[in-house]
Amino acid sequence: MQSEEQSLRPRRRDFLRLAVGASVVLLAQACAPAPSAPNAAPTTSPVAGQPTAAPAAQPTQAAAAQARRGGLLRVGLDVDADTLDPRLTKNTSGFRVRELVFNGLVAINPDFSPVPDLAEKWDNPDDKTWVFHLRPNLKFHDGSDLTASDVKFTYESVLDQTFNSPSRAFYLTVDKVDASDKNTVTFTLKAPFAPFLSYMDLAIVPQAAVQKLGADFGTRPIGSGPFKVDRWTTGDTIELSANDTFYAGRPNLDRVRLKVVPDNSARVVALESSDLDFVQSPVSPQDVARVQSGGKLKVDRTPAAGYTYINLNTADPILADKRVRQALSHLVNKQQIIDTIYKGIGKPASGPIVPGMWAFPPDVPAYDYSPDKAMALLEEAGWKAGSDGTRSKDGQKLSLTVRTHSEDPDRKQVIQVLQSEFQKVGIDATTNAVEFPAFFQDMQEGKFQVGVVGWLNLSDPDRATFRQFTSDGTANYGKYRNDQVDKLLKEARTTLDQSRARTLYADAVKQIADDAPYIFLQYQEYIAMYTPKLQGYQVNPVANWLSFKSVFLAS
Amino acid sequence: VGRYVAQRLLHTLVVLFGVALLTFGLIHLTPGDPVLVMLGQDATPSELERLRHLLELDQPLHIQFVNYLGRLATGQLGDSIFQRQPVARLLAERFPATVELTLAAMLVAIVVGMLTGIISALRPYSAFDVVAMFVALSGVAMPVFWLGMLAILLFSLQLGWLPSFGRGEPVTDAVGAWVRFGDPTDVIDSFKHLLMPALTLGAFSAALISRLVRSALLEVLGQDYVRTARAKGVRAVLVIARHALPNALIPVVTVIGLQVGTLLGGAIIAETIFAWPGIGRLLIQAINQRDYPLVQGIVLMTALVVSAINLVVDLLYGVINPRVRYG
Repeated sequence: MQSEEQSLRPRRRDFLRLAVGASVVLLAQACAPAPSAPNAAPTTSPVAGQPTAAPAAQPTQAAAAQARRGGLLRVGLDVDADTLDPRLTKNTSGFRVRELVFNGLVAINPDFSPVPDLAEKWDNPDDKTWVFHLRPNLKFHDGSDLTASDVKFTYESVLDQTFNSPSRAFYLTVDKVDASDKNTVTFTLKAPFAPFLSYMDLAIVPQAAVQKLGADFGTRPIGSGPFKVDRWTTGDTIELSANDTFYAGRPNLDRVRLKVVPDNSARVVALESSDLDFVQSPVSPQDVARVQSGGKLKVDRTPAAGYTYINLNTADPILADKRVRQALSHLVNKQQIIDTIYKGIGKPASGPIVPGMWAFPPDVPAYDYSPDKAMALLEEAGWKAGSDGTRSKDGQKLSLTVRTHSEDPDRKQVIQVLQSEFQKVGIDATTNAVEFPAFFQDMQEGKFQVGVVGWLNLSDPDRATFRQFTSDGTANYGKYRNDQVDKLLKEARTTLDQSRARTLYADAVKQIADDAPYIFLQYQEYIAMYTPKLQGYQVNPVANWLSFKSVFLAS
Repeated sequence: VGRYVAQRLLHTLVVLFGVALLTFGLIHLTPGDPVLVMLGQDATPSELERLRHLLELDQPLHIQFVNYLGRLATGQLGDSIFQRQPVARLLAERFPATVELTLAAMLVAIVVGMLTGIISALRPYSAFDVVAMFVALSGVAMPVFWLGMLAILLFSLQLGWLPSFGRGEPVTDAVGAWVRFGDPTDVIDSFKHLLMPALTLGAFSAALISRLVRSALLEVLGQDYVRTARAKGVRAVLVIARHALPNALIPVVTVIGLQVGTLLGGAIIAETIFAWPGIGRLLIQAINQRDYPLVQGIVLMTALVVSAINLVVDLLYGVINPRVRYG
């Protein structure tokens, strides 16, 4: 929720290309990178939105011949990792490092589908049982064997309450984990759980090393991934080097150096000065526009697994009336906000499930920008304009405070736009921006009326809906309640048949859109900018750096 | 002098207690909850409650403060809530970088400030004086983040002379390697990294010092004893070095001492712009995450350093001006 990527809804064709690209990479994983067009011209205009990383058109064999061994990739981070223990990290940098250093049973593809990683295959004999078969001869960086008991240990440690893992909530449906033999792990669930596989990317840690190192494992992690951690200078540098024993083959790069450059603009300037080779979201929209028009660097943009939205507190006496919430929905000119504040990055949003996800319902009716409709709805709800133009009902003024967190300059502009739109139709609107922890606490405690925030890492439809819109959902800050939605979402998460689940999600999303507890503002975009020397990088909105294991630096 | 130092140390202890109390009060009264930040939006209320209890955050504030003081008295700064590492270790890792940057900025401020101030005072209203004082005025008015960004755009992006961010090897290590192995590569690299942040951070203080030196020296140069010395035929350089400067420096030294605090404050911003891995950035991060023990540790450590430096400055008065007596 803190630092989010910008998103852009792609055309369907782009998705097909991405999906095809993903499968090519999968086939080529063990031997070679699947690079984007070598010597590709810099990405064209943002509108064209060509996913330059989609390698569908490139013959993989030819690409393999060009792959070059060696070199150092210097990557800019916006924040330092909080810890390198993948079970405990809760910031984006920690998760990115985890992609390079560790493996899960599955990995998440750019189209959000789970693909084999440590597990070469799995089956699910009944709704509540999942059996994973590990690849043979897996090794950790310290040379020890990675076995089913390490998997069991990892999941059990995350589930242990006293360990305080921020990921614990995702695994509460797991009843028990058994290591049937050295290479087989069986998960027994308390209830059928459709998104189960999408959470099976939890990084597997070596039991012996974790128990020996204790808390120091967080600074000197040992994984099984394509790179191993050589040195971590907190607040400054994380040095990684190639793992010769990686199961899918040694990566082409010799080393990856992650440098912390906290200021968004300074990080982009460092890339432009060739002090860095790769930077990614969060970046400021102005910098993206400049780099794109400069034409010297590659810019990849892809829809992110997140969106920006306006939360309307349905427990507030004014906002409890659905007509008022719908009126506000008609007052948000999404395209204009995207064009002016976000410099064209992102697409107008219509619901909580992001485009690109299998369950995305394409036909959700959107609220058009119409102050007239808004005024009609407010009149209908009994809010009449007084002599000073401000609306009131039964002696109570129509007063709303629009809030966001002060760290995000774009959102601070959004609340000002909203204030002026609200004022135009006679709402007494004020704004308020405070630091994220304070704002977030008020959200959690329901002490807000209108709040501009966002969601990210929505890697499956359940994650995008269940916590937010079921009446006792842990992230239902606005106390939204609709029994029909509760029923649909509860059924969807236990429905393993995707086409049936798709219908359930579509019905739920349409109902939510009509009730308007959220105003869905903008599907965000994930942006990567890098030196044209870097070949084979594949944009991935969930696992941003997964393709580092096969990229190479052209001379 | 010994008694004076003892007295001052006692003062410092009182100041540190005040700082600890204020920091504790402010950070705990600031809205926002470290447990929420730590467990995130997926946590259940019972999990939040459990962690709050574990971290003793469910105790009344005064009890928490007394417990904190008790741990401080035994030298424990506690563990960072968010990074799950001892605060003392984080301080030890990050403080040297800030000290290096602050000292370098101090050096810039003193050398540049003194030189321009002296030259301006000797040739008042000359072209040099007018330009220097105009630049100094701009320096005082220019925010660090703006100056820093401009410097990066010019020296890194346009000219490509200096690295745009980060720290090289610690200067002490680099110099050590140079002495032992005769290889100056690291030293050059470290200084290239250090130059821009130090200039940016030191600019404000340099400007302030130069204006102060100029006015103090101008005043002293108008005194009778200076004219008498010159009339006796003492060379101008000697008059300035022996008679004028020491008298002019007393207010300057005070200001330099106080500037240490300003520089440490400015370092927070300079470290963010230049990605300098120091304590300032750690502090911002800690505040944003409501990492109570870490915020308290950093502020306390900084207060300790500023107090110590001011003590040294006060002792320096006696060296510069023997009329100053302690006691």
